[in-house]
Amino acid sequence: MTKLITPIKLHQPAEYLIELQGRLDCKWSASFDGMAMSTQKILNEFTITALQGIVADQSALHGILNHIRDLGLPLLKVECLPPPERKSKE
Amino acid sequence: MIPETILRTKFFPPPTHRNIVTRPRLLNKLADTFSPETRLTLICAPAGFGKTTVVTEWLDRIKSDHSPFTGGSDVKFSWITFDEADNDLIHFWRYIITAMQCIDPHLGESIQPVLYAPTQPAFRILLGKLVNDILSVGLEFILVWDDYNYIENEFIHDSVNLFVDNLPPLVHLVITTRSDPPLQLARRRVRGELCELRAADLRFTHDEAGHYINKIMNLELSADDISALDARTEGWIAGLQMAAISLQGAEDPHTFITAFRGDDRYIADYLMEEVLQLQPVECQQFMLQTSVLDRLCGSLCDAVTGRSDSKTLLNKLELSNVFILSLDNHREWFRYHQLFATLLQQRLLDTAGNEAVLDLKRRASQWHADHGNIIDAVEIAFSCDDYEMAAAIIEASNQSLFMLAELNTLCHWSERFPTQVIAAHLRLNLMVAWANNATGHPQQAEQFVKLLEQTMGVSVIDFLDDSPLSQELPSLERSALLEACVILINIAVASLDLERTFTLGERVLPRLVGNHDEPFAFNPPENLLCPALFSLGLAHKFKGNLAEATRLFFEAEAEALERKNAHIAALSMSYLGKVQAMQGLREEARNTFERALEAAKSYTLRSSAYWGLPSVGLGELELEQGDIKSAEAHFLAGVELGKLWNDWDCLLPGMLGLARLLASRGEWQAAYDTLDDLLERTVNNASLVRPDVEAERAAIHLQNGHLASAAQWASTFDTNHPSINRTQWEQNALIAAQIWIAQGKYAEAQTLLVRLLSDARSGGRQQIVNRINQVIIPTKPLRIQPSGDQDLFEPPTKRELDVLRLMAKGLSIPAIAHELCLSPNTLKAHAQNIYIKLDVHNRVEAVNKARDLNLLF
Repeated sequence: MTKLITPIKLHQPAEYLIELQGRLDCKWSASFDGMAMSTQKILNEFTITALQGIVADQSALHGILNHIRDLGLPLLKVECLPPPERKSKE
Repeated sequence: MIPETILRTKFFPPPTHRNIVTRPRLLNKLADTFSPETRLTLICAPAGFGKTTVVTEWLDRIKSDHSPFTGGSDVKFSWITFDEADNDLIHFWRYIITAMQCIDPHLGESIQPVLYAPTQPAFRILLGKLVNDILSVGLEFILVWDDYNYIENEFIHDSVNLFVDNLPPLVHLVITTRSDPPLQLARRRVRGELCELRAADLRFTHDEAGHYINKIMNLELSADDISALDARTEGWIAGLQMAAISLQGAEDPHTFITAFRGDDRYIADYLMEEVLQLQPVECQQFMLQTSVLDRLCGSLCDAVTGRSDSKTLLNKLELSNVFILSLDNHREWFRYHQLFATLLQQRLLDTAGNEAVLDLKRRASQWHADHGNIIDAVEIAFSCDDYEMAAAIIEASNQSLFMLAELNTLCHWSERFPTQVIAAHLRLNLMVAWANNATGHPQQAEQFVKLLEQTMGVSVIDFLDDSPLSQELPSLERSALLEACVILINIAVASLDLERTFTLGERVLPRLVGNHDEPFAFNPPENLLCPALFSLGLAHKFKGNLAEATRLFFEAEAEALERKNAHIAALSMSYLGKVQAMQGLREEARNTFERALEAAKSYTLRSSAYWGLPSVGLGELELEQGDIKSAEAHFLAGVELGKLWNDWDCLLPGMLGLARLLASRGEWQAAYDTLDDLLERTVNNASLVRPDVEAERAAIHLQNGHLASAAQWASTFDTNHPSINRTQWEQNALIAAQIWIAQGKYAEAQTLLVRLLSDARSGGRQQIVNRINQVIIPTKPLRIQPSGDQDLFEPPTKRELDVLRLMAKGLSIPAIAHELCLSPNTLKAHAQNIYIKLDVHNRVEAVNKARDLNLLF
């Protein structure tokens, strides 16, 4: 897992990568606050759906996690991505 | 607030569906609910695992069962389905009580009125009383809290934890939730207090899946096909149900299953498509549009969809579909299964777009507003980020939020609005300022008044100065500023800023009297007079201006009765009585308190908090006159209400009085405990309460013979009177004087008492004057033993002994003065000191006592 370089605050936007088990159609994107969606088949066995995007704050993130819970989708990963300026330096 | 029919749906368990698999293994596990160590039954699994169904099936079984292991048919139950709007501590417990009262109206009866108070009650006490109610009703029952996952408020979780910890064994709490609630589950699990069903328990076993597919849904599938379905759905019940419904409409089940098995799409997504396609087009459209609603009824769906046959469609859907649940006995209200609703909403968003979704929600909000359901209407408007709509609905509700004890709700809303929206709505701005002050947030209230001033570009002071700018304002805005002035008076007195209260009051009162026919933003000016009068009266009382306070409270009472403002009427009477007691007008005070109690009785809320103040007032009068028994009854009645309503204003005099009473009976420990209890309960107002509590403690120490402890307090007593609450300081000063007398520090006591007497006399505070004259001077504990317990007694000075000797010779005061070359006034002061030191009242007694003590030789 990428090490988080900058600490984040509860009320600040941050970019997240969320991975779910199963293939979720990209038309769900709107109901995940417009996060970008992509799917990937792992070893021909199961499919992972990745959601990536900026959430407005921690409450928004938890709203998305609740949505995932309500859909009954197994959660594989939640990762806070480093801010873009740091990423470009790397 | 919420219309009866909508509210009822919260408390109705969904009827058990005909097409269910009976699940004895789960029912057996649930029977553990009745084992004595179980405190909580938790059914926790994601959506679509049949949590609600297993509980309704279990309840049905109990109703028809007589086995003692499952509780038997005598066990009653109550049901609540939570939703997002239930995240307010007060609303939450109001619902719990309403649900329990479906079992027995006495459950929660004693705390119900408190849940409608403007200030937050003390939950520890409240829950204690609820538990007492439960014990005294003595019924065994099950509480089902469905969808607890919607509750996110930590204060609610804390109160529920407390409730669970104190739940009587006859009550069984069953919670269904999609995620673990923070209810100390790990601790409870270790202690065996938890009866738990989780996803692994709830999922269909292979056999159950087969039974469901072939026996219940009559699909007659092969064992292979069933295994394939089971594998693909992993026992997830909602998935199997959707698959079964799709299969019912499929021409070739095997082909369907093969396709389903080979598809890696999210199952619900895949199956939803199939289920929807089976519906007629008009039904599909209807379901998509109504998926934005938490609860559905014909009229609401008509308003949202623009149709006129929604009721028929809802009934049709219920007959053909397992994903819509009836919420009452009349087939009036329904809701979609949550997962199904989520899937429908996603499709709606995808096909119709966000604007269309918002439009549907706005229509729902309007429907709720039109049906008097302000809270849901506003919440839906907020969920659309449509603050204009929320503001318009709140403003249109006018006084109803105030009448219906929703001031806390209004305060929470005020935090959610962007500032500029509040600024753009005069009435809303005034409403939230009032609500914040009434719920004990004067600082926030002041911020909202400032906001109003900014909007107008004219300050309240400019307005009172009739500045040119303010005169140019339209009359509606001028009356809003006038109302803001009255709010500020309330804020000023609540913040104990007396000077500001007086300044504002003087200038605002004249503008409130007389006839007003200009337009007004929220309250008509004539209704503002009584709160202004009352606040001003309160400020004068704090200041010690009793005559002025009396006049204002009288006027406030009359105004309040005229305007039917029961709240101000009761408060004015309670404080009037208090002030009369301070003026030494015992009979008048008694009459006023009794009048206040009589008025409080006519409240719809039977045990109104306003009973507390007059009860305590009567207690103080009785105690002063030595009727201990009657005083105790009044104090206890007042204190009970004060505790329940967490009202320090009532608790402080009530519990101090009670402690004094206990001490007078020699129940020292109980008296000290009462004071500690008082401090604990009023911790939020500690700076106001603590000085008085410590003074009373010192008084009890003195009575109890712990002079050293009493003296320690007295040595820290500040003999300069404070600018506020002078009357209470005077009571404390009396205590200090008594302690000093007991210590023999007569000079200090004398100085203080003389000043107190003259101040109290000039301020008309006869109660203090009486106490000094009747209590302290005559019963002063002068502990002079012939052998000379001299450390407790300040002996007469040499000069005083000279005076005493001359007195013994029978000389008059002027003659003694002449003899000693002193002025008559100086001599009088010497004589006064002698009388105090010897605990006597005149010359003859002084001479006799001095002889007894061998002071004369």
